[in-house]
Amino acid sequence: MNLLFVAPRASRKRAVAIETRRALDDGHRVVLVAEAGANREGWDLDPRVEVEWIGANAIFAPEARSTALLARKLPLGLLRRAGRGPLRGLADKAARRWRRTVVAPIDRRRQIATEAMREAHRLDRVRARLRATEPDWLVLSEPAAVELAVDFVPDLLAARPGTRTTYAYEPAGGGDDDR
Amino acid sequence: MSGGRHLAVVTPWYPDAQRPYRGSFVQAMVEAVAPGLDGVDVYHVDGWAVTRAPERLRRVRELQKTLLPRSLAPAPAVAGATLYRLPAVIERSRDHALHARRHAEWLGVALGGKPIEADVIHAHVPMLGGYAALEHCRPGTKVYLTEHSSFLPEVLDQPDARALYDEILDRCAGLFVVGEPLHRLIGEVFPHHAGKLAYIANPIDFASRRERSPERLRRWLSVAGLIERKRIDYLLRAFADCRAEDPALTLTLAGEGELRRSLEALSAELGVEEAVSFIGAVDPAAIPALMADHDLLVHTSRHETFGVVVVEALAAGTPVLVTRSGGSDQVLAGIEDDAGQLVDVACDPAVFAGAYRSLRDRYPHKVDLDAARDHLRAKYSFAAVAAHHHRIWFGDHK
Repeated sequence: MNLLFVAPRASRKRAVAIETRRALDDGHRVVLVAEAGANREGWDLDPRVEVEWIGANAIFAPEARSTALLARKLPLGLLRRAGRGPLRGLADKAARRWRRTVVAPIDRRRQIATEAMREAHRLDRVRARLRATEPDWLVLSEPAAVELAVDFVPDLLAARPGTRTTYAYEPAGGGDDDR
Repeated sequence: MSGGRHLAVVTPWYPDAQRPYRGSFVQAMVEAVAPGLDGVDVYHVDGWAVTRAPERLRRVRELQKTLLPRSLAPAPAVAGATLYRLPAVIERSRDHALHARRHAEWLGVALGGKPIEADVIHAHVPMLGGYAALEHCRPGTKVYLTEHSSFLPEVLDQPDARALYDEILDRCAGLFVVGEPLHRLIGEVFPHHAGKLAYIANPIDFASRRERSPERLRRWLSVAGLIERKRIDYLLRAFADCRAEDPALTLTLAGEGELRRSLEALSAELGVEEAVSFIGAVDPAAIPALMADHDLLVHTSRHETFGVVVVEALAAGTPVLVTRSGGSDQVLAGIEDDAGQLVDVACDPAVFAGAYRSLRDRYPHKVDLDAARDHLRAKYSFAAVAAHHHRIWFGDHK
């Protein structure tokens, strides 16, 4: 069978590594769409797995240069310089307040924008792989895969209702010593 | 699935490919009790945390209602049991009552509205497995529960969760705990259910043991997560203290956790990094061999609900030096001196180091590992624990 594993946050790397290897050993073709993580650490994948690294964690919402200059560098730089002298206490307090009231809301907005860009990127990559692979078995191997699936699984099942969907590749040996 | 001795086990914890150690005691219980039963079905209801954003959550839940029934496939498990894994998607929350209700809800979705077909149900963790089992058992089916949760005090601190726990206790046929700390806590909070509360043991494999007892207690072994509650920093300081007298001492730390890096740094700071091995998490099946390859099990935990590793060590024929963490003292009650030594939970590592010296000085002549092992086997072996369960469920007298 044609198996597509989806692991957009790579939160269950060990399980994915074990299950993909088991599926390959059972004679299936295995494709994995997954977040790579920092330096792809923690992945111990069989080289026969066809991997599509999502790379969403490398995406960040851009920040305007004017915002970076006027909201971060200039005011915080000035306060840091003022803090070297006798006004240290006052300058530190002002810097904390600036970070709390000005910088933190900017960071929050940027984080939301970043997450939206990453989610769209994840979805694009998974949809592209779905088109290319046309799996007959879809493994949603972590909670984030189920979350992402709301945007593509209903269409997939409408188009190909026979597609098998599971949360793991576990046709045998569940929980026993052969795991 | 009909018949007089068909068992269903409902549990939030069971080993899987991601976490092969989580709930290994539930797997051991299944393996122990299965012989003599008509069949065992294990429902592993695994909490999967998802978004709290209302609209997104609604869509996730809607999809899961489609996916879960079509994804549920039986898998063969230990001792001929059948395993069903069902992820319970739960919005991120610290509300324990919500988690209980979600576990029950998703088990119901997986069952397609039908009850669990079993003559007896034994559920692990009353708030999660227990409530789910009670909501989906056949009328008249007895549901027994075992509590293992070290986080139970946090659960009972929440009024809704405490009320639900009370209801669960009211509806169940019996609640079992594996150690004195949980027995005391539940007995204090729910004195009106004291009649349903009893002890039950986690089964331990006594099939193999080392050929010879250790000659000297030089190769220390800790099998514990590298987390604050286990106090591995305290252990490292005590070890460094003892090693200053005897450079031949070594310490193996089996287990993983968030403190690994800081503990590695501490062992370097204490100058014992060459004598300390961090070997990471170990497969439960490899524990007896690991125990047999060391001279002394050391355990410095502040609080334990049960002393699994203490029993495992003695089953393998390895003496123990452990803190009075609740579970360990109960396990060793009456055999403290035969098994090794118990130590009070103290802040000063010199206390643990002093206990080591005391044990070292009386070992092996004033320790009787065979007697300790026989005592524990009578309580914790697979056969003993299975007989206890069968007696509870079916009134067996064998």
